[in-house]
Amino acid sequence: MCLIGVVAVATIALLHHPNQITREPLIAHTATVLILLSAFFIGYQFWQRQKKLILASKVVEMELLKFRAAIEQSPSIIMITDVNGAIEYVNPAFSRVTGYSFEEVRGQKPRILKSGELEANVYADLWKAIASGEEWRGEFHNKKKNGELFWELASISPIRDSSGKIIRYLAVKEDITRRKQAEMMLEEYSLNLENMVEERTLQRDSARVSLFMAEKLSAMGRMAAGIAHQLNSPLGGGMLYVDALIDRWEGPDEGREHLFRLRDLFMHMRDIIDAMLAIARVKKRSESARVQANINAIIDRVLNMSSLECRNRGICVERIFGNDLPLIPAHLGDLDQVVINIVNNAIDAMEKGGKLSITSVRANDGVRICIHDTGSGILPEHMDHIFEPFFTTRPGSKGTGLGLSIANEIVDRYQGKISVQSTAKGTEFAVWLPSDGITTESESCEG
Amino acid sequence: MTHDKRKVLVVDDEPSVCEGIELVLTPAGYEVKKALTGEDAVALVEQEDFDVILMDLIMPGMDGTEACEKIKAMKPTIRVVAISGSPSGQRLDRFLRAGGIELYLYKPFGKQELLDGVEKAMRGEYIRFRNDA
Repeated sequence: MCLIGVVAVATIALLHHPNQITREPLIAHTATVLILLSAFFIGYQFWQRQKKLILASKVVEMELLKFRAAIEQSPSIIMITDVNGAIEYVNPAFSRVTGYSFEEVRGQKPRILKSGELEANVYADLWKAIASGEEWRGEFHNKKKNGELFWELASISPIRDSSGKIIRYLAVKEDITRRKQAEMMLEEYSLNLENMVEERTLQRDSARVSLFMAEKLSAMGRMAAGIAHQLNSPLGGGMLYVDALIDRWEGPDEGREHLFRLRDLFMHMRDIIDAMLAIARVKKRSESARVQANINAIIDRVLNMSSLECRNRGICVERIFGNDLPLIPAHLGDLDQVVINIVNNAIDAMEKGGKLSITSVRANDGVRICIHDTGSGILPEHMDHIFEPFFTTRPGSKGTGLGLSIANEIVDRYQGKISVQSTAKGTEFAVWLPSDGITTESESCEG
Repeated sequence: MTHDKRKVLVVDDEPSVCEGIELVLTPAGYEVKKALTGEDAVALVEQEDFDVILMDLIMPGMDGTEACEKIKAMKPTIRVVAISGSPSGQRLDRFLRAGGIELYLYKPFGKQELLDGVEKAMRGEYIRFRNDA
């Protein structure tokens, strides 16, 4: 500054007394030098100042760049709107997520992203909050440019100027579609879980009922076994009397025929009692005798026991017995149980009549028994479950659901195979039992 | 045995069984005595000699196995045959150990089965009769 003053003075002096100065070359020279120096100096200062300004603006620019890069590269969606909500800026993340470019949304309101899935009052709440200067946080279910729906978590806040007036709004949003989906899945699962628990509780209750029924049946079975046992005695007497009568018969031959018929009936009664006792004994396996079982005899017994039920329902019974069937080593009653359970199943399927056919045939070192009914069949979705304990398609008290599972267990124990085929016209069970314990593949029955 | 007729004792709580057996065995040359209880049977054996005893296993009061024990204690050479409607394996086992022979007649049996069984018992054969399943 003082240098400028000196220069100024010198210049003025020169101007006022140009003659004086030009007469004194020394003064003139000094003045020139001084002027030059000052000019140079001023120029230098000026240049420095410019440099500073440029530097300062560069610094500002860099700071700006720093913030700009942060916003541009942020993975969060950043949107800036004016006080009315018109979009002034969106960062690249916005375009990436929504599919809209900056140009496409500039000047528009954010409602272009509305999917219609969110209730209107969410938006009303939002405006109320931010207009009064508060921050608002919430979730939007929005729509991308390609129509795809997505979820975002948004923080929307007002931006104020130095006087505190709201001049813009800033929205920072996260795409939470994944998280939302997981949440919804979790909710579904938890609902499912509740349902499953309810179902299981029902199942358990039904299992309790079935167990009770099974116990009741078991008690009944024991009682029936006791009765059957006692029947053996008078039956025994009866047989001997008939035999004695046959021996002493002196009347017409027709009479003797009647006696033979009577004897047959006694034998039949014996078979029925045998079968009942055999079943009742299934539990006490260690005590029950192991015998060589004649499959045809077993089937006969079972059909005899069921004949009344079949007649009542109008079911006609057909039996086709194979010849030379090998005997199957088994505990007394086990195989009876298998046949009875499957036959009962078949009979149950034919409430309004039909045809029950049982075939026995030699197959692969064993015997194959086919039991066919003309009921309405087993539904495909039930097929996987029919051998499960307590599974029954007969609601209410009619069926413990244990029959087939017991049959399956017994067949398994004897290393046999059991299979089912079913259509809407009927069902066929095929049971194969080995006659010497060696397992072989079973085929389904033809015809 | 010291008598010429072969003596059989039938023990069963069902009268028709006893009578029926008598009807079959008497014409076949046997002398038949009947008892309706185990106690009666033991009492009879005390007083008389028998070749074969047909013993029902399940009776009220003293059952067949117990009666068999007592009888075998008294007269060890008597053959005791079990007659019963399908007894359990356990029961037969106990009967065997009480001294019964391994020949069972499962009720209801016919005339021929009975005769064969008694013959075999007389001959001292210990064949096990089984039901075909």
